Amino acid sequence: MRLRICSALLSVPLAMGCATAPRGPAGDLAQAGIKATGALSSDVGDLSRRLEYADVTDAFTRTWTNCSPTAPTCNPQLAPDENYSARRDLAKVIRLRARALDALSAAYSALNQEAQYDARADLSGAADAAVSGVNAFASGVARLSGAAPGAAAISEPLGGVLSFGAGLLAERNQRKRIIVASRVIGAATKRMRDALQLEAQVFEESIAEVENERTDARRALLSADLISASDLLKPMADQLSVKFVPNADALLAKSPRARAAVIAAMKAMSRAEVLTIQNRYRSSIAAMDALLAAHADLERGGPVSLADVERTVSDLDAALDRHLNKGG
Amino acid sequence: MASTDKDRLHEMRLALQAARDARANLPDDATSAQRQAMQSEIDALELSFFRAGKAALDATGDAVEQAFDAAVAARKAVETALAKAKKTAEQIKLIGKLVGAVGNLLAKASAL
Repeated sequence: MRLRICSALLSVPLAMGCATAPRGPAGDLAQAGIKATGALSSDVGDLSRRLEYADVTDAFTRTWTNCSPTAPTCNPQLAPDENYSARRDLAKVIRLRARALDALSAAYSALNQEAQYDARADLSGAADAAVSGVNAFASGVARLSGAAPGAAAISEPLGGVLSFGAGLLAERNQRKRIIVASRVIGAATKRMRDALQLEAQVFEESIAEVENERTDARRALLSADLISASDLLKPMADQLSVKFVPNADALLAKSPRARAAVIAAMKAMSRAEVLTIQNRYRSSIAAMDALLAAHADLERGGPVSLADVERTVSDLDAALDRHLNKGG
Repeated sequence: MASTDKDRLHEMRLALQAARDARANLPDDATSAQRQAMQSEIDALELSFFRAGKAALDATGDAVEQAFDAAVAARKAVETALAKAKKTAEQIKLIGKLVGAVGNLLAKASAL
């Protein structure tokens, strides 16, 4: 009987073999996918908030610095519409990235459910949603990156489940369902990875620019005597395992040398922050690459190696924890 | 060595940062008109930076390299003027030149 089922399977256009459903490896891959997309999603949410808030910090900084201290009145100032729109465009792409990651995460969850239980998950719906989410993100990146090489390739929408053989996801044979799901989700993950890669250069410089704006805002707040200089330097004091004297702020306020040193330290912290964000971005792409290799392992029917996914996700988690512990 | 598209976008961000640093160090006696003039130049630099993100800055040739070198020189002139605490009027003039140099780099590097 088993032999007959196997020979029937040979007629499907997929190299699936006749082994039993690879539930264990598929479950492991799905869990790694959930972890990787979860780590990326936390990161993206944080960045998106920073970008969306950049207009607020800019409004404070530009009003504070553009009003003369001797002027009798001062009008609040906002960024010109064109500049505001350009920032919003970038924030919009980051939000699309978050949505695409959430949809990918849901697809990996459905794959995990399929692999863990005999009960069937809505693999088809989840995989289609992942493809749609990734297509929306890739199209946003292509618009943002405009004429960049590679933009055209990712702006062509990825076909949904139908293009992979939707009927196979409705198959009674669990092995076939798992392999087809892996192919669809893997294709969405690959498109996500390519879009992240294309976006990398613009994103890295843009995030550095946003961080510079944040530093300018801290500097303006300090200049307006609205924040404590010793609070700004607290990460440095913690790192050196020292505590400020009780009147540190008064001492810092009256010494131009000390204020210049505070600003220099603040700029150096900002530079380190930019480097951390850029490294997290590169880790995100590495995590996607590791996931894709695991998809290929699963689809070949060999053992699935998840060591690289685990390592890149744990790098990402560690960087994010350090960032959040600093107050993000 | 020829500059790359990454170098060019990075240089545009450094230009914006140099102008922002000058703004953050404006002396108390800078007039409202001077402050607004500097802000307008910063806004122009920021727009060039965002436009550069949408453009492929991958054109090659002597004109592009000259534009890149000119943008680097203009940015360094702004940084030097700030370090030497030059007069506000002079700083604004230099930032104005930087806006021109960055705009020219954008035009040359994204030309097909």
